[in-house]
Amino acid sequence: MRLPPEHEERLIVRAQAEPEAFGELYDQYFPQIYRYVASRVRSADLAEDITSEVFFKALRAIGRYRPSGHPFSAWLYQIAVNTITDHYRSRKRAEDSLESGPELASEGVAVEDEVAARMGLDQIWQAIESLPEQQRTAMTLKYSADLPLAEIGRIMGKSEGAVKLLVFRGTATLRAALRPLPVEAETHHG
Amino acid sequence: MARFLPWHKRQPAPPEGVDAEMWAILRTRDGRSDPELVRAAAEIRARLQAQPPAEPDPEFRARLRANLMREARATGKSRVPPRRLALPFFTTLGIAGVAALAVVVASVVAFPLARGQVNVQAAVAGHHDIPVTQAIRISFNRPMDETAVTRGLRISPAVSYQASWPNSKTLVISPAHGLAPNVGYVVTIPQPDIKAQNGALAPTGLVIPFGTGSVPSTPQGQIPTVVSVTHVAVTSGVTSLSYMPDGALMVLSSSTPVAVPASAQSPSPSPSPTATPGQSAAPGLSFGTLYVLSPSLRTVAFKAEGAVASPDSQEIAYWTPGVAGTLELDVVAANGSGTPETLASSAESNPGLAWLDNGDLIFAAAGQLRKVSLDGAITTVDPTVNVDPSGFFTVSPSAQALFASPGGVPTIYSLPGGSANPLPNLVGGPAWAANGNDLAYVAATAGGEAIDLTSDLGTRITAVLSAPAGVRLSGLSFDPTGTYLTYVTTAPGQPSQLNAVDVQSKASGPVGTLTAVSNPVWAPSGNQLSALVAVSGTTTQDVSSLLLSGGPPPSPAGDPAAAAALATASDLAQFQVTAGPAAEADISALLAPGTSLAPSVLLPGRFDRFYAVSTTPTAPGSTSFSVALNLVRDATSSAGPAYLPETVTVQTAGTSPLISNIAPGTLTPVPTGPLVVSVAATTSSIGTTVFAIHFDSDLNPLTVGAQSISLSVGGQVVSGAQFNYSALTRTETVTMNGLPAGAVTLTVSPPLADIDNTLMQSAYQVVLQPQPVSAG
Repeated sequence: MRLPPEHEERLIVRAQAEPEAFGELYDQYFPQIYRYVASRVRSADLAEDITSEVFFKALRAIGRYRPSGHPFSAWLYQIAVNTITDHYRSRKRAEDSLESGPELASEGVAVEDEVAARMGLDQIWQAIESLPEQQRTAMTLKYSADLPLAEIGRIMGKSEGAVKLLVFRGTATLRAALRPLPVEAETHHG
Repeated sequence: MARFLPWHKRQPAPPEGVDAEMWAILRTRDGRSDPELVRAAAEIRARLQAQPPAEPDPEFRARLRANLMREARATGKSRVPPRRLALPFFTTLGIAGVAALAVVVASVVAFPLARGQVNVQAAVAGHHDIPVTQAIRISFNRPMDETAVTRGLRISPAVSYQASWPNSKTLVISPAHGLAPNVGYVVTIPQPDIKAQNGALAPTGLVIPFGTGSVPSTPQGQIPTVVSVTHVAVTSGVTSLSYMPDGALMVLSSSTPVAVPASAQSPSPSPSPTATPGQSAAPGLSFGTLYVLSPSLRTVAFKAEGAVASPDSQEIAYWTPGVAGTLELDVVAANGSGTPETLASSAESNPGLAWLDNGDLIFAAAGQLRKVSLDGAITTVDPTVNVDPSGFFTVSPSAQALFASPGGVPTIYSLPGGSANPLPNLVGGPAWAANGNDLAYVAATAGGEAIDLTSDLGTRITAVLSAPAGVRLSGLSFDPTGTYLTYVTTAPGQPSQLNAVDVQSKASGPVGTLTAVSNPVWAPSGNQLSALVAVSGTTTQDVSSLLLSGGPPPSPAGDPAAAAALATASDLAQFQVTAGPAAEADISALLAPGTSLAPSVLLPGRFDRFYAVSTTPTAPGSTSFSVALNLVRDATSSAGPAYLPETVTVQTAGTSPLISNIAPGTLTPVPTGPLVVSVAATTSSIGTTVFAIHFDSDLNPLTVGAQSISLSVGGQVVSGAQFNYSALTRTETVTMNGLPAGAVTLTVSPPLADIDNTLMQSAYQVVLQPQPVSAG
């Protein structure tokens, strides 16, 4: 999904000089950023709000963006991660009762199949939501957005090793939460 | 060409459903793994990858693109919304409209929740004692169309402000010169402008009424004078002296301070020999023990640096040496109980530290500005701003701007994602004013050192003062209102001295007579400052607090009888405002014998505040004074903002001043446009008469002068006056030499207008007997 690096860089330089060119970057990266945000917040209304905020922040800061060899999307993900974190923290602090829109629904899937699939999915998302913030971010970027560890490290401001540890711990917690293992299985490995 | 590894370095292939990176995470060094863990990872990945992607609403996608492009076209330059245009919304809304809308708001403005609607909150709403330095923060429940909201924003009385958006859901209104003290305000935004980025609207327009508290002040152009000096404590090796928001003094030092009892204010005792040695674990930092000096001396933390108190003064955060040369950010209870909790770490040599109003701490780490909450969650404030905190580094009190020194060039940034302007001549300071906008610093000039000021994030720089050649400047500190800047001058071979400058009028001078002074800091009350004074012949330092002169602007300084009359009339007004009819006995006690108490004086407790407009003798040389008061009802009342003028006559000839007449006027709606809130007139020994007229609004300076202010004596208009308007203090100073003897009638009238060009609604007139001002 990434643009060829040279083309992306040209596009960024253009967007810095003439902000309207930012529209092309928006067209390219809107779908994946929206999907990532939607996978984190699980509400269509909120996903729209946060995606708006991410792209407005990016537009206002594009003038100072400096290519670093990482894809432009890493920068957008970084802004998205911070915006989502800020949202949850402010909601927690202020007990802000933001209304929830309808849950995201997919199209073209039989209702009964979707219900069956969502039972497992909801369980996984519920378990992911209960993880500490850093683990939650690393898990969703790895499992859902399918980003490389190095890119996740760039987004989260952490080393690749630290991201590995977060994903390992998150996976272990999810395993325990989703499928409690029999005692002998717990003691199987050394 | 394929590379072959020895057997012990070969990696087993990842199981099905697990990619190479996940496999690297899950297996141990010897290539083994927990099969259950691997299976769980594969299942999570499979299910999440199989999840149908969330598809955005195409309409939303197109609308957001259109909004982005609109902003790109509109604001290719400055990200900070400009000062609002003079639109007629508020003036046409009218007082009745404000009153009707005010019923909607309670202590917190909250619109009903409904899907797609905008919900608004403002903590200041309904409060009557908001500090004049406070920024007004308005929170929305969804990202807003910042241009529309800012365009519709109005404040009445008119205030020059900067509107900024720390994020798309928070609007911060920072008055350029603070709010006026003791004034009721209304912030309004019409409903069509309360628009979210997704097009959602608020159900009604926004009305936020609130009022400000009183603050003491010194007449403009005069430097505060020292009333008394208190020696608080003696210590040594002090690296930091600061006030907590509750007024307690906090000191970082290498020896235990010794409190100086009231009975022994001089000379200074010696510090305790049981000193905790200062330590330095990181370049540029010097660690000491943290003490709070009042209400009683207590030790709070060891090996501390950069200590800052929380907005509620309950906690103190500081840096302490961590592992491997890093610094740890610890927080401890300000009362000294409990153990410190580590919240974050930083490898920066100068990580800075500021405590924001929302409870977050802000600092630098890994070249970026980070925030940490008390629950330990760390976020990057703005990933687009990189800082190099190796040089000067500080954050404004409202975290709207960052001052750093990337590449050795001091630079001021707006946050988030705003402008960056260099301050190339900066060599010392810098000091932020409490409004978060004004930044003063020591600048290098061809002739030596100077103090420069920027109020708009470095776009424009104003010279405040220049030091004589060879004199060094240091210790910059703003008073809480941003009116005065204290600084220390050190001339070659001379002990350092404490000075202050009125940043608007540029008047400057020494504060007190103390020498060998350093680290001046202002108390939150604004009428006191503390500093370190080196004790001659020793290595110890005296923590000294200086009580400063001040008082409300109309206070007739230099005339004790007038001051007593004002105080008595103020007592009456206080009873009327707070107690109403229940204060009959209290009010009667203030009356001169034979004076009857009219029932109309016993107001029904429906006022929120009062202020004295003027105090003047009823005749030249008389001991009887006429005090003009306004009793004010804020817009928080369902009946709307209104004021009741009252004239109180006070006799001061006896042992205690007594009231001989109380004349309440008519309850009047607070008018649109500027309102005179106080007038004082003084005549110097050389015959110069100065009238200081204070307004509740920021004025359009082009409308202030001879065309709107006149003086007359004995019915004859006198000419030749000089006019000077101070935007900082909302004060017009009228100076007149050789004014004929007798009562002076001062008239203020349209075309005087505020910065929104709203004309003064009706002329204001007062008769004054200028008071002789005492020498010094």
